Amino acid sequence: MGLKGLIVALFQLDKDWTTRIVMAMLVMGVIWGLLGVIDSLMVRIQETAWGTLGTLVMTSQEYYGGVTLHAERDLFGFAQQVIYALFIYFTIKLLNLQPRAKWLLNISFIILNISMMFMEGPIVAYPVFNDNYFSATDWYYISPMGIPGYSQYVVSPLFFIGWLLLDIFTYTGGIWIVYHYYIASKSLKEKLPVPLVYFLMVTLMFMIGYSGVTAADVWDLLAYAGVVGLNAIANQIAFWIFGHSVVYMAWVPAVGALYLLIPTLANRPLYSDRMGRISALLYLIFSNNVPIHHLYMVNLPVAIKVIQEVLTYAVVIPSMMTFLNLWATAKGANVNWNVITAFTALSFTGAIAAGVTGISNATISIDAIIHNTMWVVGHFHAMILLSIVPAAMAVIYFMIPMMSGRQWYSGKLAWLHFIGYTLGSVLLIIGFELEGFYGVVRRAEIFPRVPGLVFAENLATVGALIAELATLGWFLNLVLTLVKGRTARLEGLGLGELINTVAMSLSWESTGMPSLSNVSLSSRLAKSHRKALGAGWAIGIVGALLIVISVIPLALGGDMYNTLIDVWLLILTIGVIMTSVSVLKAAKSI
Amino acid sequence: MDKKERWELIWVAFVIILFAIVIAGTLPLDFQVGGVPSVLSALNGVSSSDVVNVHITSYQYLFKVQESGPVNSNMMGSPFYYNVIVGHPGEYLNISMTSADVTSNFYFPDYSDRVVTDQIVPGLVAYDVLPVPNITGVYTFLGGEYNGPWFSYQTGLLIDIPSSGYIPVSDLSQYISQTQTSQTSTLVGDPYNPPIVVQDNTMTPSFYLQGSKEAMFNDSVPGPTLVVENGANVTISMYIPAIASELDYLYNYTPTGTGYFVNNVMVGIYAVWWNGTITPVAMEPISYNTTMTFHFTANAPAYLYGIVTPVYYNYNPLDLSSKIGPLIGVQKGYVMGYWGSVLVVS
Repeated sequence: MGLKGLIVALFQLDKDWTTRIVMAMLVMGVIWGLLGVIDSLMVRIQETAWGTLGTLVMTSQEYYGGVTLHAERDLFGFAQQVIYALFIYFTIKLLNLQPRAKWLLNISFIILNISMMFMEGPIVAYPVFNDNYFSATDWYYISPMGIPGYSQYVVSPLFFIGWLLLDIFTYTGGIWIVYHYYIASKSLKEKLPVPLVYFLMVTLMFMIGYSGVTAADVWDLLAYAGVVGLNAIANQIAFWIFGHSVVYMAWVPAVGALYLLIPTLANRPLYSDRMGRISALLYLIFSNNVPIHHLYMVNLPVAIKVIQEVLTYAVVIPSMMTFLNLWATAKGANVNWNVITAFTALSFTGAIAAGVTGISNATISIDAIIHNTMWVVGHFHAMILLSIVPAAMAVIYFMIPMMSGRQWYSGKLAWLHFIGYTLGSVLLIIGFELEGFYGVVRRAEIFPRVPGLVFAENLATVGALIAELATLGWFLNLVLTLVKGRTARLEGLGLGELINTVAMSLSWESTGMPSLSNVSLSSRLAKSHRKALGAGWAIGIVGALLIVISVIPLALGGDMYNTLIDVWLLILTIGVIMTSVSVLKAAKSI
Repeated sequence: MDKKERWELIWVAFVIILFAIVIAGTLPLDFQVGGVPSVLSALNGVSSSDVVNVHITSYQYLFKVQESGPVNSNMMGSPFYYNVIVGHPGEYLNISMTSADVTSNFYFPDYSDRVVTDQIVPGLVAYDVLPVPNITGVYTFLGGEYNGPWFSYQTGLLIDIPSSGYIPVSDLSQYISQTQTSQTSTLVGDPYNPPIVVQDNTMTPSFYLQGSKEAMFNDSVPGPTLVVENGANVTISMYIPAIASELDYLYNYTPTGTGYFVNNVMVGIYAVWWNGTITPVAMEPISYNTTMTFHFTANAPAYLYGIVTPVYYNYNPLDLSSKIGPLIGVQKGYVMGYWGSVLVVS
């Protein structure tokens, strides 16, 4: 195969335009993901070198730049890009729609990938190479760090511009997806299946959650230019609307994938369809109005902290409903063991294991002990590595044959990927949480070189290396599949049949799989098209406006010991509920 | 409602009840953490003679500390300490905190006694009450919130000395035991306490402190805690290498971007007295690549050694920060690395 053929295979240039853009997003996502993995490796090398040898092998700027860029690239360049790509693909394919507004999707794709380059900050190539000016401000740049006049460590304005571009992508890409659900809702006679409800709900979650960080980004850029002053705590609260919600933006797609995969692989209907839909609604309502639980250790009124504690616990409810629903669905089923099942099972169990540590973090009095420690880092890495990524992998393992028409090149490499990834991730997380139990703060480049801690650091590094090697195995398998994979005969199959056909080729024992029901919605689409914007969509827009307006009392809140913070939370919550309920209802999701 | 939904609701009700129990059970604690004014209720009933008022101003990458009450901060005539708090067992530190620049955090991770963590956000005042540990010794506190590339150097010491006399040997044993346990077991002691080097069985103790390209003594910020006997004739030798490294805060840059080794700082020994006054014992200008040796008689309950004032660092190689200007960023801040403490026992 020549270079042209390689590029055609890699980017699926011989397919329809939706598939081409989605494939480009996946390729760029994987590239950013691998760069982010290299960043994380730099971090691990620095910490292990310090613990084991008492020396730093990189500059502090490189180390902290590595921490920041690892988060930016893996969370946004990889995860958000891949999530959007999956939503775009399944929205079109499962709703059997003719995609529109190609220009909007193209622009969104370009903006996102430019934003990743901007966030990196400048690289000095002349007169001597210098990467010590990479942005190193936390992935969330706690206000007012990095802003001239407020911070002695000032980062390049490109970083903040990069964030603003990411915001723009979220809205343009999100509008594209919601617009297609809107088109579908005009002709859909039945309710959307639960997985698609989740895809729509998470897109809304992105768009609501990004309202806070967009406000913070605009404010930061204006402050950077000296146009306005900053109120650090108001800026932080605005940011954390997103900063917490992003956890769910990343995880709830995994939940949607589980709602798709577990009934499919178990060959059973979902235990409770209605509760699945209610869970989706509850996730959306309770994910965006709990920013202050990240600020428990700030002098804010105790009453608002307790309200936030209650609301944070509330977001656990849909998770509990989901766990029971999915467990009851799979209970007693004769499930075949293949790579897709393995990643699905890991995602389900990993969510429970990692979620428990999240509940403890949400408790004010426990946060007073573990705040800012590696325990917290252990928690969110557990969520990402043991639940979010495995669900994404389960989807990608059937999606690549679905898109490319080729079977996976090597089943053995797929299994090595699963085993190595799981083992490495578990070791990494145990290492992180041990560090947390030692009371070590996150981003500790220099830490006490004591035996227990050095062991924990090295355990984390060994785990990271194993997981990263396994992921490289997956990447190799992916490229070989696109270039050399055997032709898969998947045309005409429903999604369930397709998943199981692919799964069979990745089976541990190479046994046959049960047939599955076709969840394609093409037959459910009616031909009638109504043009008017329904009341539900209109109320959703009003709700979105309220979310934007809620920034005003926040910005005027001063030290927050006044009623403005209550007004902010009230308006925000009303906005979130209006948007969530009305849009999901209008899209025939609940 | 079908049977399946009923099970779901029972399950949810069970979860809600559990959460309600947790919320109600932990509610009183919510008023005692997180830097809120209500934490000051811990001082109710405490004699004012046992309350040390401590105000901490956080900078990138430094805690500037002012104390009044049983301890009055006085460091060579200045009313401020840098990265140091002084207290006596039985006293309560009535702490208020503000930031001079960005968001920071005050983290006191003494898991065997009290853990304090408070965010210091510009524009807000954070409050806390920290009982001085009953076991005398030095306890590390640090900035728990990343605030720039020198973040790891924002560590300080609570110097916990008796209100008179010297540190009892029994306290020293407990302090060492607690610190060592925290290095191999989780959730006990202060794992950030510096390494302890004891020479209390000789009246002529001698210590050698080795600097590194990371600008600290013996791989620790603060450097190791040295322990000597009251009245001992102490020798401390310090070696600071001149390594042109971006990891060394003493390798600074001129406004025109030329790298140079900072030479306007003093290296020395400083006595920490019972009332909080810190006085110089022996000082000399910094000499790189040379062993600087200091002799003193241990009469005070504690000492500081090394460079005990911050250096204002400005990363600007080849004047990049100016030439490329606002596009590239600026990296400045106050840094301390070459310092540590001495405890005196009897």
